[in-house]
Amino acid sequence: MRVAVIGAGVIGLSTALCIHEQYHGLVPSLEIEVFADRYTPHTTSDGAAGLWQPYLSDHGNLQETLWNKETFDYLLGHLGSAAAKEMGLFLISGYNLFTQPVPDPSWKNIVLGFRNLTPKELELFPGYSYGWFNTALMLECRSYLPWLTNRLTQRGVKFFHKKVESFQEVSGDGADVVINCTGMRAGDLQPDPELQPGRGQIIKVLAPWVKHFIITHDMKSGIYNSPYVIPGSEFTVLGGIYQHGNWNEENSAQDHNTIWENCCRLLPSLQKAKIVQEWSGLRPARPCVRLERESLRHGHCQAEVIHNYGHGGFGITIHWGCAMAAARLFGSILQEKKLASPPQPRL
Amino acid sequence: MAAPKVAVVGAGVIGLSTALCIAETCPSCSVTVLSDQFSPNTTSDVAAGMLIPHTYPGTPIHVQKQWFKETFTYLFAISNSAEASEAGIHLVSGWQVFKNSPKEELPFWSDIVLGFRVMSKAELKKFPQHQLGHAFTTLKCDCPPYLLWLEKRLKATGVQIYTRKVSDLWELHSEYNVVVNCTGIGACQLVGDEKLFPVRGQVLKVHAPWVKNFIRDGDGLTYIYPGIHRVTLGGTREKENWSLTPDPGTTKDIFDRCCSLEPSLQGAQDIKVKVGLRPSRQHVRLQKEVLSQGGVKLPVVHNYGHGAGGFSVHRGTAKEAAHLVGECIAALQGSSSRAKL
Repeated sequence: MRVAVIGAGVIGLSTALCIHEQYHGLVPSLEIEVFADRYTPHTTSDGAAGLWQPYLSDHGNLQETLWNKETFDYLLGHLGSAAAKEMGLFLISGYNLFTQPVPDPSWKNIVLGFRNLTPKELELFPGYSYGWFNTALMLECRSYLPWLTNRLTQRGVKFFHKKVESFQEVSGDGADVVINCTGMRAGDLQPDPELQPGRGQIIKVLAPWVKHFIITHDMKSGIYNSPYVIPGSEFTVLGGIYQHGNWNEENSAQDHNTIWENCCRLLPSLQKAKIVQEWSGLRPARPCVRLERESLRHGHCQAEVIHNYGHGGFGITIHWGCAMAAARLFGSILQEKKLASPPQPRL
Repeated sequence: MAAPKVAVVGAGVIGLSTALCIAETCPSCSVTVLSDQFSPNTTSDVAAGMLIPHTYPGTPIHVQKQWFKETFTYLFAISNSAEASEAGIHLVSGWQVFKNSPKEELPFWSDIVLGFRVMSKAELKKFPQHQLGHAFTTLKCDCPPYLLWLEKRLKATGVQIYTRKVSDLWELHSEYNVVVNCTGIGACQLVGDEKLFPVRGQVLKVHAPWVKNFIRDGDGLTYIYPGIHRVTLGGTREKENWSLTPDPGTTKDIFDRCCSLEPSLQGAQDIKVKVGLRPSRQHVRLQKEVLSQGGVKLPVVHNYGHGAGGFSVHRGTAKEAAHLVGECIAALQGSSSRAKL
């Protein structure tokens, strides 16, 4: 049973690991190969700050809220382990700020200690009149992706550096199942007009005195188009750009100024922060995550494809729940191929 | 009297902040700081500098609350300014957890820190040995940055700073009109205060930049305080122990206790061990005294004995000390004008 995973961001690597963990015991012949043209630290995931936080509203998409919760609980369970530091996983508290009262988010009971901000706390943030405080998790991909890669390598998963041009390329080569974790470039393998870039730009600074995340929201300009400050284990990420439909991966001087001025206004102490790096990336945005099976025929060949892409600006937040859902789809494929039938009682 | 000359003895957080308050409230005064030790070699440099008050049994609660409130308000403004990183002042959130329920339901300072509330059951899961906890956001003063920033502010206002070992306050009587005694544990020898005693604290300062929240055991013995560059792990409270030498057994014990609260600390790097002697007393000695020898008088303002709570109340006690200095100067000016009649 050969599985080809296309894509080596947080989605590709975690899905590969989840499938191997769950099915290697049941299917000793299971062979997983990862194909990608970009590996850490050059993936979209590497540009993310790594804060676990879904969007403000799930738009009724309860499935995604459940996947977010599964991811949070899974990560929380790893916090006390020796692996946490190597994974780039740690707790972090912080603020979400608004200019008007808003309904509580779908994730209020998933994070720890969710509450409204007190008037004295709001004094810290002139211009914002309402907000939340909670403790959440950081999962830094510059550590997490190498950690996933090590776990996969230990399990005998092989990695190939190539740009896959079609599903047939890997299925024709012998892959029984293809896992499509191609994020922003899924459209290259199969057109998907619902997948659009949500371009972001960030400035990485040295500001080790900042211990809280601060995410502001402008209900008119939309998610992540308002300044945010997210402290990591080494650098602090300043952001606040979300441009729907913009495919440009080059840094923009105008966006730099927007981010810098807005973040310094939000947190005056940042004026003394040293700028270390600038980065732009494309969030693979979709009205909902595409997580489903598809059978593809090419002549006499049939390949089973599991799509797992379109995680927008919440890939890290939702990744493990999606990996497990993809693994369940994989399990159903195995059942159909009668490779993983339930154990028979001995007569 | 021409520019009154005030000497402040001691250059820890109390000495420097008191000198600054005097310079602010008495612009006509000539203020000088005298100390044999400066940052990074003061007791203040060992402390984490967390704004979590220590309760002094001998001081009315409303006074302690006022000191803390003044200090918190002062530092809150700095933390929210462009100077925050230079001054070493930053906000930090976290938890104080208890194995046994504390005597008081709410500490007296719960409405001064930010967002104080009881921890939820979900939050307490992280601390399986603890029954109850408080979550809040407070401020931290990192040293050396804070002391160096105070020194810079002092020099900008014209305060002179000299390295000098003062063996007897009286030796200053010919050069200064008022002396302010901020010598911390040094007051034991300097003024023979038998009510002052050391409470030895050993701490580890480690590199663990992923630790963003503080954790403190309500017994006050085990704590994890993330600073700008290092996390302070503590600690001990050893009464009447004068040793400034780090003890290796204690180091291991502190590390183990902190790791049981925060397992990721196993990965901490570059562990530095420090020892400080908390200048402890039933209550802070914050009062005037007039020394006299052979008809010559020297007004003294004492401001020492802050024990485990120096950072938490420093600005409040500095302001009160500055006020007492003002009273001393007024009295001197009153008596000197009487002498002219």
